[in-house]
Amino acid sequence: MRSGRLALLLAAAVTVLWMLPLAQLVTVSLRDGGLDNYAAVLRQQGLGRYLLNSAVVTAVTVVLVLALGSVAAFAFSKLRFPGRTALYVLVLTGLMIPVAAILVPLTELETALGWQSTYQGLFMPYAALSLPFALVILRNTYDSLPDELLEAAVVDGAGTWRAFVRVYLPLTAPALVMVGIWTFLNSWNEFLLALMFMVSPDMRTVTVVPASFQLEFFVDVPKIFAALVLIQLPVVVLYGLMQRTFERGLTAGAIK
Amino acid sequence: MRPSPPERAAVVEAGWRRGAKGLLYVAPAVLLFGVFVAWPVAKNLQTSFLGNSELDPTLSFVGLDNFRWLLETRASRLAFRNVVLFGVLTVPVQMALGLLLAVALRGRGAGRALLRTLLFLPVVLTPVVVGYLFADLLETTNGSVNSTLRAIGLDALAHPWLADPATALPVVAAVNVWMWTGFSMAIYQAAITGLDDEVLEAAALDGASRWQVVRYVVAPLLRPAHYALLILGVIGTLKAFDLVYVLTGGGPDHASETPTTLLFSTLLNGRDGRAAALGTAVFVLALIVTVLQLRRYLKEDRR
Repeated sequence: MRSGRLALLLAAAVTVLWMLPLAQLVTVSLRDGGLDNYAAVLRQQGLGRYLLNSAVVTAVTVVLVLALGSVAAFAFSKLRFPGRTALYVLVLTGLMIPVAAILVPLTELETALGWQSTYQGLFMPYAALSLPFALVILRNTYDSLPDELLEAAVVDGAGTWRAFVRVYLPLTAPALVMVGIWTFLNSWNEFLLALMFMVSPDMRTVTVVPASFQLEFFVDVPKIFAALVLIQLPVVVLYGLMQRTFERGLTAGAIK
Repeated sequence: MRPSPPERAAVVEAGWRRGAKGLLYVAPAVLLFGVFVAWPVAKNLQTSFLGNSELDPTLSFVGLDNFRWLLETRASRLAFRNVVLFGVLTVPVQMALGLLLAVALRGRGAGRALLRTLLFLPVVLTPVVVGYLFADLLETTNGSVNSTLRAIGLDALAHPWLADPATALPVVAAVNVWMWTGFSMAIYQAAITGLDDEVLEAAALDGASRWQVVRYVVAPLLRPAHYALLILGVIGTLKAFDLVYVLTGGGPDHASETPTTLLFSTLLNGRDGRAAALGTAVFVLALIVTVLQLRRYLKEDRR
């Protein structure tokens, strides 16, 4: 028991050490002016606009992934059709593809479509890159639901679509929350594509903003830190509200 | 329960209709994935054999020129050396720390739960934000790290952490460890909760010390967690970009360059053929890791 106490104490010490940088972030963000620093970055620098950009891109990405992922996962799990296995395997290969492997053609594609500095220029590739993971988690969920639900619904005269929407979809709610959180984090935090594609200043998402703030504020670290805290706030608030779901959602893909 | 004949006919007919329908259901997801991921992968492979638009607007076929550049340029050799180094400096450290913390925080109690929540917090943070935060903490003249060292009389240890080629990469690796240790802890946590308490008690009754229990009982049972973290760590290392870009920009003098930071600057310079070759190299490395992983799955299935 004594060694258990000691281990707990050591873990507590590590946690304190781990939290020091974040404590510093908040402390410095309030230096010379307190909450005025926050007001300043929102008012003068239009951080609100960038938060809105990120919110729009993230929200559409999450909706796209959940909608397209659910319909496809249902079909891959419950329906028989030509090319079922081949198409599933094709999308699964996406689990291992690093963004670096597609950055050059993706940039050409965005230019060809005229999608640079547009919302769809980010949420379409974000959704495409998140779909493989979503499909694996959602398909596993549909596989665990009995086929008889569909047969019963069809016998009752309900179409396949109604069986999917009315019977199956509500039963997958926990998996939808997990996939939703995972997609939300990935798209809110994404940097490389946003840096590459969001050229026009007023279309920037929050991850691209600190670089330009640094240029403008130069050594006004408190204001830069206030901006960093605001960028981080939505994520931390959500995490505070549903830590267990975050943990399960983020570690779900790992063990299997 | 067998359906009566008319009902059966209905199911069979519905089954036939479902056959055509299935494709419609998966089409939107497959199309989106095809256009924005699958096609770019193929196109990238092709581009890596073509000229660089800035130098050669006709984009003629140049064979292996871009790959020769990849092998012969100092920046690119450093990038691939660094990715190995980065993996070695981060993956085992995150795993070991995460395991120790998971063991220490095993069990119930509000205190333990709070510590676990706080340790997992960095995992959800935005890498770019973490990068700017640590860049400031590690700044040479006014950064908190050096200020603290000077304040407690350890002036000799104050160091230009990110500006010195010798420390840039290890320091970025340390920040990566700060971010991802909580993730390893959570994975091990899940594995440990799955462990049978009786096994642990029996070992304790046999007089095994806590260390021996960890070493001989817990560790082998954690093998799937080790493996998952190793694979995720290696793939994550191959993708390393955000932290490096913000903390050092790949410098000083390419000391912390990674394939993706180099790809980014190469592409911005209009050398798209070379950038594509870098992308292809990263893709092939990720493919090798995946094939090794699949082989292991198949082996385990046979057992």
